[in-house]
Amino acid sequence: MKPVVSLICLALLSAGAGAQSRSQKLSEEELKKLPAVVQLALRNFSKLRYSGTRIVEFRQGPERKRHTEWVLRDGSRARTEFPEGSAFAGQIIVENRGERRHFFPDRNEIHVMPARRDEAFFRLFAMLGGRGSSTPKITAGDPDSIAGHRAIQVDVSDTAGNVIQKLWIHATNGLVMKREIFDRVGTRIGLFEFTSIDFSPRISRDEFEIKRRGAQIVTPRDRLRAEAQKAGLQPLALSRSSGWSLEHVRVIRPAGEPILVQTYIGKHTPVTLFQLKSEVDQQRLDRLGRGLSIHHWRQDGVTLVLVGDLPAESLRQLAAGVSRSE
Amino acid sequence: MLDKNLLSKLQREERLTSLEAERLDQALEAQANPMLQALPEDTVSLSWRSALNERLLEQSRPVRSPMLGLWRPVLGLGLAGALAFAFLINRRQDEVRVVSGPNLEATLIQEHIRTDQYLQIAGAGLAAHEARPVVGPVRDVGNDLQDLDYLTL
Repeated sequence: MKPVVSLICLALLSAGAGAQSRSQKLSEEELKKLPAVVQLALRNFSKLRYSGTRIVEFRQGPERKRHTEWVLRDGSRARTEFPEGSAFAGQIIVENRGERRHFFPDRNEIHVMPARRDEAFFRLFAMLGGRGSSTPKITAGDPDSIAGHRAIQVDVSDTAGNVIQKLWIHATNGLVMKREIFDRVGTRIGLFEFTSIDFSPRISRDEFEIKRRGAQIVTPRDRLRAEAQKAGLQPLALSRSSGWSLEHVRVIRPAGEPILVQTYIGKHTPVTLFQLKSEVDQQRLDRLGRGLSIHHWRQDGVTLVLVGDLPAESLRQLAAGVSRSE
Repeated sequence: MLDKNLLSKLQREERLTSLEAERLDQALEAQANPMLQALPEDTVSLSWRSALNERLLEQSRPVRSPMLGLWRPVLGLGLAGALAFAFLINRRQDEVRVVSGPNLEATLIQEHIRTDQYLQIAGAGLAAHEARPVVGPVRDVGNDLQDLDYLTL
């Protein structure tokens, strides 16, 4: 009986995922309604080839943390390195054939996870493809100069007119050269900006490989088991057949109590699975997370909270598949 | 107490003999000991408060010399200040404990939203939630001939 139930669940999940991806695709007609430079960016996204330097800034708590990346891209393949003097110097990240590999030289570890180069772009794509009253407004502005190239500024605003994102898109090839993201009160949460770029780089195929004999391969599931054990929690995870891939595992301690945080990537949107010992208040979660689906339950003596921007029923089906990671 | 010779030597900033240096240390130590003994304890208790009251009562008694008795009210005020400070610190810690409960749900929601935003900004690069600086020496496994290779090019 169990395999039949599993098959039915899988079929339901696939149907949900399909419906979700369908809602995120823009028809040719809808695409034509967008500013020309956005259309260009969407059409050229997987064809671009370049090398460049970009600065990346994140707001973490009260601090703004900034680092520099050397970026190499050839279509769907990407390589990121960090210059001498950077706190991350020596780390290398490559994305190739649907896989992301992150090399940590001090630990001699290669962390392997699903590629996510499409994430940033398809998140935008999904947002533009939204329908109904919550669809953001897109406004193309005046040309600007980013890293010596002509770029068109595009503002993405919510229905009340609050700017939630700003993009600077290369006027002739559609590369997003600068991007800023704002919170609900207009504070900048993060940005990236190219400071130099070469659209005719010499690229060798082996630049998208990380080969290091003796280095330990670490998967997110390995990290889940290790972090759960350290925090005295359970190695509980979404089912491998759910269509959601575990991308990152970490433990946070906001009030001293360990909370195991797992980030999964599915159809262009992440879901987060939290695990903690304390009870949580579902009403408070719903009130604070308006616009998100949130489901919490008790399992194996711990509280699990699943959060994501997907239909509530799909989230509950995902939650039903949580089990001990083998 | 310091004798006149030693005092005048100190005023002229002359070099002291080892014997004079020792006398100076003893004199300073003799002055410092009562001050150290008078320092308040860390823990706030009723018995401590009672001791403070007794000390304050002593301050109200007539003193022989105004200069001699000056340190007592200063010490009393210092102790009272320390008591008030310790009381405030304890109260502030209690307030944090109360607030941490309702913040739990907000922390979870915020963590999800921020991770989503970090992923959008980072793309194929390094996202804030996975940023882990290189610490300690780079572990070298086997022969890394990269530098040598560059030299022989």
